[in-house]
Amino acid sequence: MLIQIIVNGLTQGCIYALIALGYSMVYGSLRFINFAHGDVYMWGACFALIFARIGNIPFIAALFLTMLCTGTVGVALEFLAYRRLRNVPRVVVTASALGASIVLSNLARVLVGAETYAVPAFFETKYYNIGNVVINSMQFALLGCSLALMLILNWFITSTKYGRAIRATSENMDVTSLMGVNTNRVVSITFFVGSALAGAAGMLVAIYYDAVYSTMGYMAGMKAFTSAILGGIGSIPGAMLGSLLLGQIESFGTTYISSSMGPAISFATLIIVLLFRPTGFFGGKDASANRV
Amino acid sequence: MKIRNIVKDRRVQAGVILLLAAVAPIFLHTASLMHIAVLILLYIILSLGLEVALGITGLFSLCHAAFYGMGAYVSALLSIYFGLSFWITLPIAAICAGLFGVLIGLPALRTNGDYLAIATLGFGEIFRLLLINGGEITRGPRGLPSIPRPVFFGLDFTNKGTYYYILLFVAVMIFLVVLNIPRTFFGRALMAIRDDEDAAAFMGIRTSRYKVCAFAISGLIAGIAGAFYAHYICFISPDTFIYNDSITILTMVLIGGSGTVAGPALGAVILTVLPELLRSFVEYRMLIYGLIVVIMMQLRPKGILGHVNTRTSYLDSLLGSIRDKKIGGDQQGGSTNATGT
Amino acid sequence: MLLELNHVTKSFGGVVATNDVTASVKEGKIFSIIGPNGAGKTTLFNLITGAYTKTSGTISFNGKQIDSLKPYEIHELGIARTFQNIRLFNQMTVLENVMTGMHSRIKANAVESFIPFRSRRIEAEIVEKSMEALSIVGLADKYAEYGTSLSYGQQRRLEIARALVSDPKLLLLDEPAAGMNINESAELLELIRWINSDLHKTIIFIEHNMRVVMNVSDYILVLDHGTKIAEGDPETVSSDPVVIDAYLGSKKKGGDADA
Repeated sequence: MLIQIIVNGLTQGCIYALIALGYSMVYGSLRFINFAHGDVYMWGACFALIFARIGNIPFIAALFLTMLCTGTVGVALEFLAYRRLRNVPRVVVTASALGASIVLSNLARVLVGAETYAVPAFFETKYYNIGNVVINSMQFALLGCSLALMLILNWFITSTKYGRAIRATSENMDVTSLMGVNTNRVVSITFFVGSALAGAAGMLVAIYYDAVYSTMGYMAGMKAFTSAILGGIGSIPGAMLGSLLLGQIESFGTTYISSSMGPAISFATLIIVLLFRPTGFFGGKDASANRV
Repeated sequence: MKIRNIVKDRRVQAGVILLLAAVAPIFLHTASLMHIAVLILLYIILSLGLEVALGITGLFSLCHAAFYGMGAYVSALLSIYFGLSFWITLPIAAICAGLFGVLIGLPALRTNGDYLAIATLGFGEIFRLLLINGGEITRGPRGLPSIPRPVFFGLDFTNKGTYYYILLFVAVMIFLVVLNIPRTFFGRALMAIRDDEDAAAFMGIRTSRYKVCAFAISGLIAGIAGAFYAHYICFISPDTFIYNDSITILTMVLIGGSGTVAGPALGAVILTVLPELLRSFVEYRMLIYGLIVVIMMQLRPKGILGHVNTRTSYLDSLLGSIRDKKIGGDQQGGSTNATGT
Repeated sequence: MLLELNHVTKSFGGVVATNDVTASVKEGKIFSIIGPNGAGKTTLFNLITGAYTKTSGTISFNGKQIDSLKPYEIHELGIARTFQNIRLFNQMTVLENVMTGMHSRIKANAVESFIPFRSRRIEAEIVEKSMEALSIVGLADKYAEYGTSLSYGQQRRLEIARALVSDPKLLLLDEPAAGMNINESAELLELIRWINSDLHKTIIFIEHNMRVVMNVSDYILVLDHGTKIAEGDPETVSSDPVVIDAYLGSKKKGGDADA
């Protein structure tokens, strides 16, 4: 029982981590919360649905295509909704992000449909009994893919030229731009990577729960954001750890407290963290450190 | 006096608008048109409430619909279970929504900007989940039916016209209160927090207390709208008070021009009428809202009436009365008079 | 003594921004804090006004220990400040900016703001005082403009008016002459001297240009890398070899950075 709860929490946590990374990366470079990020994730699920319906696309290829598509959506989003708003009051950027979120989710409602759609299977589901714990092949795929993606991200951030540029930009955008780095391109790459990861999460969730609907981004986005806050927003390892933590909190909460109040547990966690430790548990950037 | 000056006089403008609002029911023959008119007034009250938090204090509140719902549910529950008259439940509902605002204001003590927006979103969501899981008290997603209409000295509240005039009166009163806020030291403290919170603290402003106050007033006003809504529509359910409604109200404030008081009211009118005109595009309603917000933020981030400043004229009148008090006295004041006007 | 700093230290992480500074400011004087950029002058202001909490040491004002008070409490006690990087309330007019500075001097309760005629009377009083403060700095005719439309020098003077309107005992000016041309800064120094002599305000002001302060200051404190390296009246300080060395040294460094 206990291990089953932990495994379920781990599965959820990995999904949140993939989404939370995008929030954290964007916050790192532009210092605002991309409210439309949850809807990019939802579009990942929609693309997965489209590719699954086309059929005959192997799982890995579909995953790759989905990531490419949502990455492009992310870049377009930044270019259309945020690029012109670098030096304006924060309220304006936040409003634009909220607007973009509404546009993305309602675009899916109009283009894909307002119902919940089942996703044709990419592969056959098998169930494995390990002791008392039941794990199915979906869960394996989900855990494996998210782990692999996070390792790739880690390599990208630490060992490539663009990864270093992203880190430098999140340290200080003005200085980085003075050093001759094209910050607009770095921001685009940040959005591409973050959105591609969210897209992957969308696809994995779509096949795991066998359900795609246009409002799925809202709740997942909120929870992923909570994770990013838990781990200290702006910090990449923080986002991963925070997500795993939230996954467990939620898994235990729904089992021992109340299943229908599950989301409320996450939100309560969010509010408590914001109240008592807005910088998160794993450091991250302290917004109030350089006031005056 | 030229006609142009008369047209430009804000009091004349306000009078004309009020007159039009007063005679509007004569031209709105059908019940559905009257219904829209009532909705416009409700949304004006709601957007004025949000204006206090967002426009004047710069606090992003994404749970305005929860305040609205708090007012509606408190009033409805009190009248259903205790049979209280609407005129008793209305203030209780408003106060409860205001207290809810205080609760939501607590995260504002530690955070601001986007973080706060997310925290309010969380509160809104928790509120909705509590309503849904409220068991037999809130009847969960099935909602509360048969909420009694108000009774008032023999006025017939089943008639939409009566409701319209009562709401018009309330809306005008709230408009005047909110319009007055930025003209007072209280409101100036709120605006200082909006413009530069740290600097405001150095001016001796207790920023945390004022932020909580702003949320409380915002909630109180939304609670009033909620109570009126519940007893007007006679049936409420959790779906009426969700994220999308918060966003709709937020859009009204931003489109009209946050921080101008008149702007949000205008935004409420536009965004209530627009969907009715676009009836056949009902599916696209939220999409259009979203597009309007994104485009507006790129092109005119301050909103339609963003440039309007209703405070300076008031300050001018104060300056005038000060000068009148000491006619011929202070030369400095006199020189200001000469150059200032 | 109006203000006393007693072994005040502030460190951020491992970086010591203010190191064991002891100083006392006499009532009615103009006290200057000078030092090269990054010497920890603004940090000292932030410590006095409550933006930062000290790592160790004590700060007392009028005999009352203030180093653990909140910024608004310190303002209520009578310390007002301006900012190095001008921080006006940009969506408010010049007059409203100054009126905001009055905040902690208003006796009325916030609820009274909602009572129509009472509120008008309170506001009239605030407007009157604020216009006085504006005419002191010579901005009375600009009262209806927005802060952003003023020139740099005018914005700095507006900040002074905003600080002055609360009738503080102690006025902290953070590089008030920065970015001004020679005429403007001469006028400003005249104004500062006048505020000191005619309004009887004690003033602490930060400057990185030593020449500016020599004529106006009664007492000078020299900081370098967060540490006090000299203090005394202008003559003593300007002839102090340590100060000359610090200044010439930093000028050389500054010259290198420019080149």
